[in-house]
Amino acid sequence: MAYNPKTGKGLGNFYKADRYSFTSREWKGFKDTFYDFHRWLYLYGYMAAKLGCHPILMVKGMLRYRWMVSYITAAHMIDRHTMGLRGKELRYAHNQFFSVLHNSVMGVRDIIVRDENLRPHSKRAKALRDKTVMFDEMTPHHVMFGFPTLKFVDIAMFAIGLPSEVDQNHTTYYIDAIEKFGLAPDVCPEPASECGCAIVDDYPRVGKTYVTGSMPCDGSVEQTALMTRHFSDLPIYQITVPQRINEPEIQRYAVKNMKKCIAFIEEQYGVKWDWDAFWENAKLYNESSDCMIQKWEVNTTDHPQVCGAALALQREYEFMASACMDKYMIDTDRRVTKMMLKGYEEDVKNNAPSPKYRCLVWACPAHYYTNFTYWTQHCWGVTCVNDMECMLSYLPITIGDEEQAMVDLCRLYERMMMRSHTNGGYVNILDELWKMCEKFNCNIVIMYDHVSCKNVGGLHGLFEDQARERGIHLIWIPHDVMDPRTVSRREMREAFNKYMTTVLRAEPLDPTLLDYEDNFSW
Amino acid sequence: MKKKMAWYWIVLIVLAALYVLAFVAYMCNADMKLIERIYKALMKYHDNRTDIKERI
Repeated sequence: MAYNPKTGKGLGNFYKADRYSFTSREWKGFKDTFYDFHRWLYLYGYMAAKLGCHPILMVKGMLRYRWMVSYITAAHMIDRHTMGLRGKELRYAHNQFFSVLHNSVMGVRDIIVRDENLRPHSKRAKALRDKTVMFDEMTPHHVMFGFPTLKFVDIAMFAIGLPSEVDQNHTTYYIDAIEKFGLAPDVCPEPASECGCAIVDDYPRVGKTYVTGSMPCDGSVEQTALMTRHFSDLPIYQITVPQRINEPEIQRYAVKNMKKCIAFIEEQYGVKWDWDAFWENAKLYNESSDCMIQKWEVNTTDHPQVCGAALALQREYEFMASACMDKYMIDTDRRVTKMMLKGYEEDVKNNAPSPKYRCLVWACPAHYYTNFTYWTQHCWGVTCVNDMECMLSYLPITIGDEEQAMVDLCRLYERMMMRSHTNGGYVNILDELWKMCEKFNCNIVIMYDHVSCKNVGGLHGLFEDQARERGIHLIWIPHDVMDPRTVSRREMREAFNKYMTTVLRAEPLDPTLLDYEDNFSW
Repeated sequence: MKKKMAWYWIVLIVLAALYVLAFVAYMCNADMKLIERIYKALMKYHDNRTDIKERI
């Protein structure tokens, strides 16, 4: 525990009201501090090696794109997630987060070398763009399994999704831009930011086609309409997987739509779908899902290992941003799974103490407060054993059967982020929660109350009634996903504090974390 | 006669000094404090930009 009762110093002392960065780094004991230091050196070394060879493009990128500035704070993101962690938990978190940053650094490099806005006259950049497909954030890229000669870049993820998790104030400018343009302010800030980024022409142009998806919510419909107008000079395909996903008969329609997308890419790029490459990538996906299931299985026991954001964010980016095709991420999965199993055996052998409270995280989380579950752990001893964000598709792809593999591929799209739960109907979001509470042996649920999400908002009363019937503590945490001005991090903490003190009558483990100002902090 | 220090000792001392300096910078969070200044300057630059055109 990081709190020292003698000095009264704890993790809350690292924040200062007027600062973006922490006052200093935490002393975690000799071994853990030097482990953390070496990870820090490795991160800067890696960034210097991969991005340092394009210094002019990097400077041009930061002057051209506002969102790119947020990436320079990457080390702070690692710090706020690893603060207070010790021993094996620190090592799991570093490995998991580094794999996300590894993928992001490669993504930023891919963008700057291709971008038409930064390199309008470069023939090399043009040649690279001719072999690149641009994707929307809420459209997984698994269709690229069968196109080994093409590259894909998720422009919305790199411009909005990821920076908003690195820097809490990143999206406010884009939200203001789109609201000034006329979008209603009650629209979810995620699609609103993506539209704002289009309005101020802040998207890189890195490919010759744009593939988008359909999400059954008001914000996403607006986003797709606006983005397709923004990229109206490019050929566009919209993957429209079914909205109700539990009925097997809908798969025929989903496969038909997916095959049309494949035909679109084949026609635009003059390439053919490659089944051999597909099977290779499908095996990687199956292996990554298997690692995820193993992590879940261990977390159902009295000795959960990879918890909180380290579990959720890595899977989210592995599935949504890299489409499980990033070999470094798969290597990390293998390494962390091995470490986790060893850690679990040690805990069982030593009869290590179990977490004080176990919780599940449900519904759409706040991008600007990804370390919220670490805060609950350090402040109150509430450990998050699973998070809805990482409960994306884990169903395997059938290797060798082409027809069945197409159905399996569509299932990945049907059970991607946001679609499987928050937009997938009450069976997937409501009934599934109680099953998960039972499986993970949790009687506390951190229920994110995304104030702009109409889909989950409609189920508010049902959640409360059913939780009461089951004796489950449902702690509603309001937030506005990408706009910290509506509900700040501090207000989110206050909501949790109130429940812990008034209902559970708990005592904080670190009183310095109860209340502090971090409105500026990245 | 003054004995000359072997080159590898000089390299080792320089590396050790760099290592200590890096550790001090790490503990003081000097990297993020420097980045905070760069971040503020870049954000000020973006706030004052007049070349942004609506593209829709």
